[in-house]
Amino acid sequence: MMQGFRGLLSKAVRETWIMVAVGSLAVMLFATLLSYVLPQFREGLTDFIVQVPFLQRMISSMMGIDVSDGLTVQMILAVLWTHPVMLATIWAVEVVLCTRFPAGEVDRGTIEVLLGWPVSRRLVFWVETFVWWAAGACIVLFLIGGYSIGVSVLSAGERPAAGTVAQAAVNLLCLYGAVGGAAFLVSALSDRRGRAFAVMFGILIVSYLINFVAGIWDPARSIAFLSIMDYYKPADIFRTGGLAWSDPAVLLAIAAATWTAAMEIGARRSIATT
Amino acid sequence: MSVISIDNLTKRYGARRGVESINLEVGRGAIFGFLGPNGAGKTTTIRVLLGFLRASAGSARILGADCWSQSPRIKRDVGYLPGDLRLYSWITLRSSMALSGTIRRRDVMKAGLVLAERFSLDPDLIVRKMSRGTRQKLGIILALAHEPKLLILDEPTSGLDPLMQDELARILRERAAAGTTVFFSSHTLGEVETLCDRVAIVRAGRIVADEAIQSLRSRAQRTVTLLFVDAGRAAAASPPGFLRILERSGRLWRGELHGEANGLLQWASSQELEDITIGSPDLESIFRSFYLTDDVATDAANGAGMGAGEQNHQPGGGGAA
Repeated sequence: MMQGFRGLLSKAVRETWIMVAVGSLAVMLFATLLSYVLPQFREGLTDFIVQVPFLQRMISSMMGIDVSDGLTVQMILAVLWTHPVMLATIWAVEVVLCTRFPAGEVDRGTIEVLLGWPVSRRLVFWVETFVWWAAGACIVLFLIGGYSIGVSVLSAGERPAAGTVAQAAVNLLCLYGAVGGAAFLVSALSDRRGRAFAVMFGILIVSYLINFVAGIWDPARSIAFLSIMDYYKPADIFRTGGLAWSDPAVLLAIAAATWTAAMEIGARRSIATT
Repeated sequence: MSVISIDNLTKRYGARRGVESINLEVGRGAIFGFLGPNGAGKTTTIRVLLGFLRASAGSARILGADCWSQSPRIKRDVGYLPGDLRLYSWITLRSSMALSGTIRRRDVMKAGLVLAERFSLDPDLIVRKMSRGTRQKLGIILALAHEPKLLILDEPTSGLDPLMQDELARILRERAAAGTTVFFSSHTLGEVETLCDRVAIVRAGRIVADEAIQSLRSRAQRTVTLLFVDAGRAAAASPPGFLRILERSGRLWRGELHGEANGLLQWASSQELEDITIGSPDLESIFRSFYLTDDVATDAANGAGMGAGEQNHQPGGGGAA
């Protein structure tokens, strides 16, 4: 079992490390840049937001907190954790990783070589899951690293506490789990990676939009719970210094349910390249 | 115990047919050919054996273990070459042997390098730089290197040049002599004829023949050419019942021999012939008759093989399939 795991792991790492490294460095660079630049514009941005109510609602909606009283340094730093570019980069890497098996292997025709070895599909799932979480940990560590570099110019009083950053990171990892679990499930149901990718990004865009629209349009608030973004509130964590544990619990439940379904479907379905 | 045992196997893809009520038994050390036209169900059967596809009905077992529920265990003893071989673009023979060795928990590097030498394959050439034939060689080596008890090869000679085809045939004979069972599908009738002990022919999802090559050969007709001394004697002659004349042209007759050559020679001795030629048994015509005939039952009626209704377990290939 462990030998098979080690062999498959070496193959998976060989195939993914460059993408994970590039994704992590991109996230780190972006985190450094944003966490360095945003506090510089805090005052101007706060004045602008207070004067333009629509923009105020837009930013409130994107961050998931009320910014009508202006932005503190802590709050503005939370922008980084909800920025679409940041999330899109993380999700892109993640969806690529989570659709490798079976959709990716079927799509590139290598599944028959892979499953021609004496390995179970469940073992392949476990290996891919390990790589997925290892990549997630790596990306989040690089994000925290970039963030720490960016905020190092701020005074100690302005910098968020390490515990707060850690809680935001936990919330992000839980979101990462929910997205990845769903991607595994879509992959288990598909023979085409492109299709799995498109479906996942469709789900993520709709989810993001529901959350965003719910923030600026009251009638949409009743369906906000359908969006996974409703359970991801780093700005709240930065504002209050605490994490509402029900949010990561919901995200982890989604992750566990979708990943388990993916494993069972993937292990039981017929698989062929044509 | 049979190495491969397939019992009433049916696989449907929704409304589309895969294979229907297939029965097969393949014993240890056999070289078994699995023949059939495109879309007949050869690859479907192989994929069920490898545990990629779940059977709709019936069962498939390898070395006594169920092909679906015990697939990982079975594959320790199986070497598989897919028909539509796609390899990881980054591997070389050397790296694939290292990977395969780690997964299989045994050192396959040495055996892989020996095979690479026999197939004239550079062990450090990366797949993305390989030609189709070279990739096929690597696929074959991946299937052979761990010295499995069963080799399942889906069209193994595809893309190989004649010299490499000969080398593969040599290796398969060596392995079979050492007790390895070889199950391979092919379109190439010649290689099946020279290599296999037994063949099954699958058409439209059903096995229409499962026989020893020797048995097929004994049923195969021989072509006969008779050259009379003149056209008058040819016109006056009357062919015996076991000689079916297909063409008469002046003093030349061409036909098929449905019986022993001795009978023909006896009859010929009473004729005024200038020359007589008796060809080798024409196995290809038998194979083609299985491929081309529309109705499975018609095959049986023509005596060319066994109909679907007669298909049953016949270990050792006693005629019906």
